[in-house]
Amino acid sequence: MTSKKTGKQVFPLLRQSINALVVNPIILFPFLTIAFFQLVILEILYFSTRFPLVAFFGPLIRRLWGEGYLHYPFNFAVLPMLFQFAQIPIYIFVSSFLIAVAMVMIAAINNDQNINFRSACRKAFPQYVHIVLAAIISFVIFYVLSKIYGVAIWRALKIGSKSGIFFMIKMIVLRGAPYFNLLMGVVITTLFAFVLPIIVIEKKKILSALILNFKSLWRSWWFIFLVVLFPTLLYVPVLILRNNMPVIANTFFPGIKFLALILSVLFMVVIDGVVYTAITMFYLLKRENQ
Amino acid sequence: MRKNLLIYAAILAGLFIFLSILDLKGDYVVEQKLWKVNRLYAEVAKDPNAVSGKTFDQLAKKYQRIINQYPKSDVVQGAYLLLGEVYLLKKDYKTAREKFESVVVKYPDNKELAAEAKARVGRSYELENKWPEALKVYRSIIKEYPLTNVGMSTPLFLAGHYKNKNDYQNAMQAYAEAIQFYRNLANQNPDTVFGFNALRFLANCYLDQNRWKEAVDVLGETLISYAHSSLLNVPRADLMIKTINMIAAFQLKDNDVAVNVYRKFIDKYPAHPLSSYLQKMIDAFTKLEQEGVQVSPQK
Repeated sequence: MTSKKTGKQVFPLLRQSINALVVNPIILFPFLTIAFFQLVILEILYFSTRFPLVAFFGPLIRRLWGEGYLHYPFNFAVLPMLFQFAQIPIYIFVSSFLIAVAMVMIAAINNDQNINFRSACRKAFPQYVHIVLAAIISFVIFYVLSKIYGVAIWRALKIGSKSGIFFMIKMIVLRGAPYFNLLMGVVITTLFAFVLPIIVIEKKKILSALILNFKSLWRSWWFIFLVVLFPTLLYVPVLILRNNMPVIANTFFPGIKFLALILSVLFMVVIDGVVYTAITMFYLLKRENQ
Repeated sequence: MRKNLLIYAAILAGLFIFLSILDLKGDYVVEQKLWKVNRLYAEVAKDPNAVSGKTFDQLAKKYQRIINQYPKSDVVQGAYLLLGEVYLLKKDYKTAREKFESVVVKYPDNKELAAEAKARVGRSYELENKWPEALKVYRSIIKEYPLTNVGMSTPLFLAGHYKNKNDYQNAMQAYAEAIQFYRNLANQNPDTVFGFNALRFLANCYLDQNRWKEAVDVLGETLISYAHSSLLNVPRADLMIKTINMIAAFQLKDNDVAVNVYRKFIDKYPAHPLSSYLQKMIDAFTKLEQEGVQVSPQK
């Protein structure tokens, strides 16, 4: 599956990754399973302000945001936030494992072995604790960076200028928040790019996986960064859509916020599929070369 | 894989249908339907003169349909008021009043809603330039629903009405009546939300008339009387203190007015969380006094 021709060229590697997904759609299945779990959670949250789920979610929403957010259409204002909270445990306990399963599948296909989802799960499962630990580490770093950005936002809000350079800085910090978050995601995915392949393919523990990851990343940083960045840019239209959601929802109907979240989940299936396939293929290629 | 994906899709669709069915007759569905009609109402309300009579009738029909469809829903109570509002926009004041009055009959136990409906009856008379009838309705609200939000704000509203019309004599009389009303309410309902709100309205009566010293006294009284009540939360306390400072520094040009209020509070509640903050205020006023600084309002 991997070709030495791709070497350290971003677009040929991405093209090869897409080809691999088209030829072996089974690789996409773990990512579709992640989307399935996310959509189930999203559906539950969508109905969280209605009978019978309101009995459980009602007190929580009332306490965090107030009574008004339990009613239509303000419930859609808290839906993205609730979904974001819910994604944290999904990412740590489910998504990270399923990404690892996809990597096992790619490695097996690369070795011309027959593989299905169940056997890939069985192969990856013994490493579950290390996979979860890797997910926790990357999440904590993302959280810390988000907090730092939160401080920048807090500082920007204190800028009183209505024009000039400081006003420009303020607007960039405030309006650019979702895009900076996306960039942070790209940086963190790059930073831990090889951790999961090392854990599931080499059967290493988390600590040695981290050390080997940074060794592998040495001199490949910008290359991996671009490999992650380009497919992730596909998400920018979704971000633009979500940023303009108040206006769009007002023009059409508030439920469009729910549809936008579904769209973002589906986009992430494609992006994650391409990115992690490319990373795994590059890792396997590097390994073969060594 | 295809089979599994079909199972995923079936689970998602099944879950969606199942949860939708469970809440088919719930308030959420009514809220959704009302929201759609309210949007149409907002469009019509932008320029009612440009809208045909047919559109008003269609809008009224939509509200009526929701009311008929979900007679037991709590959300529908608001729809009755909006139905009356449609007729107000249509300038069909008689029908509007009928709709508002039907709310009072239908929900006699919901005092807040009934007072709101009556206030709209009053407004319909105002729009029709029938002030004496409107006044009669407003006075009945004060009498029948004194402990509702509408009932409590009506005396101040009446005084403001005369003030805006430059009717000095009636305004003075209305303010005097409002002050009496709020003072009685505050005395009769100590340590309650009604007593607290009555004091706030009382302070507003004095502020409206530029009776600064009395306004500060009432604000000080509120701070002291409700020092340990959850009603005096941080934003409310902050607003009261800022108002006292502004009046003392800019209107009365006598910082001692504020300092006296704060001293009284600290003497009574030395361990209260607000006391240290108020002490800082006193120190700041003292420093300004010592340095002979005259504070002027921000531009």
